[in-house]
Amino acid sequence: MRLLDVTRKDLLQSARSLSALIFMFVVPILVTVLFSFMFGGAGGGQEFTAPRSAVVIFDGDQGRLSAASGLAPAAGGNLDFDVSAAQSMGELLAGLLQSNLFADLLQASAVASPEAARAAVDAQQAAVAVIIPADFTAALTGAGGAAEVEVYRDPTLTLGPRVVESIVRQLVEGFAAGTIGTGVVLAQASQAGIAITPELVQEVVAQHTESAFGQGETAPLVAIQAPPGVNAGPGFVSELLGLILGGMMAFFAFFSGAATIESLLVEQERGTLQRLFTTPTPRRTILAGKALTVIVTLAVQITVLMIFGALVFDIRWGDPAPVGLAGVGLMILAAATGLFLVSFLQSTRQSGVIFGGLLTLTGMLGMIPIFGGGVTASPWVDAVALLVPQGWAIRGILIARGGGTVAELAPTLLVICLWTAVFLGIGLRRLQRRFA
Amino acid sequence: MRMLDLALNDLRQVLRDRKTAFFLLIMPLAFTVLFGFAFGGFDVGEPDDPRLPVGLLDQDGSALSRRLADLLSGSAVVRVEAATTTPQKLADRVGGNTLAAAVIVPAGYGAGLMQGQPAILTLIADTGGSAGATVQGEVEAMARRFAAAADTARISVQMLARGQPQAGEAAGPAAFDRALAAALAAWQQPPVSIRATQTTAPQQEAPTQLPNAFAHSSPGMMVQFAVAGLMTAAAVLVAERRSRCLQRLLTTDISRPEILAGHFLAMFLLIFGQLLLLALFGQLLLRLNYLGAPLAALAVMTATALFAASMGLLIGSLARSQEQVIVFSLLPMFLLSGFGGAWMPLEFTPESFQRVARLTPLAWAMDGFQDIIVRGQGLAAVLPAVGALLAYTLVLMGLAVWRFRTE
Repeated sequence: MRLLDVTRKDLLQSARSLSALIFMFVVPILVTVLFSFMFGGAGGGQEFTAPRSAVVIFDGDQGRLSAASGLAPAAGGNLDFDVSAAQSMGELLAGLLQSNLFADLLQASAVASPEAARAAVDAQQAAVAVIIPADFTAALTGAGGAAEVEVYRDPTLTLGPRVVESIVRQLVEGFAAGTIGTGVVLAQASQAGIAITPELVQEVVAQHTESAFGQGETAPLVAIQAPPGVNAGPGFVSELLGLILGGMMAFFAFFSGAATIESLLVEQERGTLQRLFTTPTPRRTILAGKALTVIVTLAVQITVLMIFGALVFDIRWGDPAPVGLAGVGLMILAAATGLFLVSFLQSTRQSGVIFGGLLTLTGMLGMIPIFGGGVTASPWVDAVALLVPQGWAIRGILIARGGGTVAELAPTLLVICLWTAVFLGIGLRRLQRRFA
Repeated sequence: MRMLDLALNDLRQVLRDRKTAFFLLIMPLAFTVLFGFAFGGFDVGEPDDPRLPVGLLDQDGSALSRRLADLLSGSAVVRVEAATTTPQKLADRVGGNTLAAAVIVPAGYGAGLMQGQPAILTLIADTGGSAGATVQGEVEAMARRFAAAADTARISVQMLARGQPQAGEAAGPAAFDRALAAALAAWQQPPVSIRATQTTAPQQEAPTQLPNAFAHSSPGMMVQFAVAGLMTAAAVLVAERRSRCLQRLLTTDISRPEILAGHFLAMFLLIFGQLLLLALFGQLLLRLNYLGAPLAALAVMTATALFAASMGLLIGSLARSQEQVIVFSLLPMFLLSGFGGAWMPLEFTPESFQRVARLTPLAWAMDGFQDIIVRGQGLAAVLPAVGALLAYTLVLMGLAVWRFRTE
């Protein structure tokens, strides 16, 4: 009963501490909410969509298309740009980029000069400038040499310029395919002694144009498959938020463990601990009450964050048994680590180094797999995370989240128990000596 | 002079605290390196061949798939490693980062192309990363060219068969192969092509050179920990008030503005020193060109430090206890860093998020630093960022002074 009194008093103190509540609940949730906003406010199963890129286009093409050139692709059913009205291939390229065909990816507008186009990118008003050269049509109709379309990008951006460049490349190579293909087919026909007539040329051009653009619209030429451990498909955002909240939960559980057990030092400095020791309550009961406070605090913290994540962010933590065991693993390890660290402190003044420095640094190391979205660039980076207790606790959560079974979790739990036993053994021994 | 004494006293107090080194230097350095490694580079290129290694599994074994392999082998971006393993093992190698990506040519690929049917390659890659995305762009371009060349060959064969119905061999597989070879040769010098350029920073000169993985984490952690560093500095003010040292100071002939200026100067010097050391670390060890535009770097660091110091002053005047200092420092740190793009580039976020982010001071600071190290620009380019940070400084300073006067 006295044990529960000690626990209740300590819990009340914790609940009254603004910073404790903030670090236990507000910060982990705040960071997860921030990330959910970063991905479009997605929580309940929404998916990440690439934002539209601002593109400026300068069409400097001086060439003119003859009506019978056949280089322009046939107009699509829903296209809001009149392909047949294009006077040049440059106009066609610019028109397609500004059409509704790419409206969900690009926000394209025309500018009057190449300098204005580059200036817009330099001023961060556009992510990419597409500069179409004067000899673009000439190069495609065989009336000139080679021409280069310049794609000028903001180097601080990656995703948007990549998408724009891919679209421009696809269109330009589609045009080039017509020119190259027509040249090759006519050369082969000529070698075979077939007469080259204007009708034949037009037919070949039309076949190539149809083939190049029809193919691009109907079927991708490359199907992307993510390697193991990389989830880029459905559920990506919830997956990411789960990783972040799981990492934050583990990171701050270690703070809570240490901060709660720090009450021993606070009471010692205030003299209330010494007074408690003069009462008939056995010292073991007092220390056990404090230990129970840590366990209850961590249990509440972990449970609240998990339920919050599941309800608000649609996070799937895994099957109940492995998740429960991973949660218990985190709880006992965070409590033992707190006890171990506090046993080395002489006063609360030293606790800043532990909370601000050591726990943050080891927590960051343990969270390496979280930073990499569950996969890091090198295996040794993952190995570094396992040098600290937080790394093992996070490993347990990741295994459970990944659908791991109790058997798959068992080796990690065993290591967690070993860390716990060592920390608990050293911590208790030191505290018993101090309060003997 | 007394203002300087106050500033020096503050600095001595702050630097005596062992937390200071952790918050000001060790943690930002650790985070910069960790974030850089975690999100960054792919590092299995060979010194004499920097192209990205890509496994190629040919399940088709046709003449066309061999030609495709030849085409990929000639790439300036990817280095093809012929594989005889299973798709799963290839995927594991990509997952384990011993390959940047893997291409699987499915059975029937060549036959499909010859008949004008859709022929789809499988690319195993993490296209969210720089290496995977680079390989994706290259493989898609190659596949497109190859499919276009195969179309040309097919059209050519149809044309020959129609022109010379009795030609037999002339319109058969040999003709297809001849036309395919001619088309692929023509693609070596296409009539129109793309030239990718960017602002003046000397990055990505070679097609295989990936962006410096630290170009985001370094300025990101600099601005984040400029705010976190306030914790110890603002704590001095609170300690001064709680020990009634401030009240004693006010009984002397030192003016309130002098007291405030002294504290402000100490915070400014502390954060400026922190930013300087972190920038030097980036310059010397992470190969980020902060010193490419020294005046611009100085301007952005000064403006960031002024903003951080004014925020520290406000926190110090608002907080009533050390606990509140921690809360008032860390909460803005998390919020401003998240919204300011210190953790993740803002380009990945929705437009509405970006609009909010542009209102935050750390987004301006990030812009300023990235103008220098990524865009390679100079003083003129960073002036808007510097101006915005100074405006924030004035607002926060005004609030701190008002709070201090009404105390």
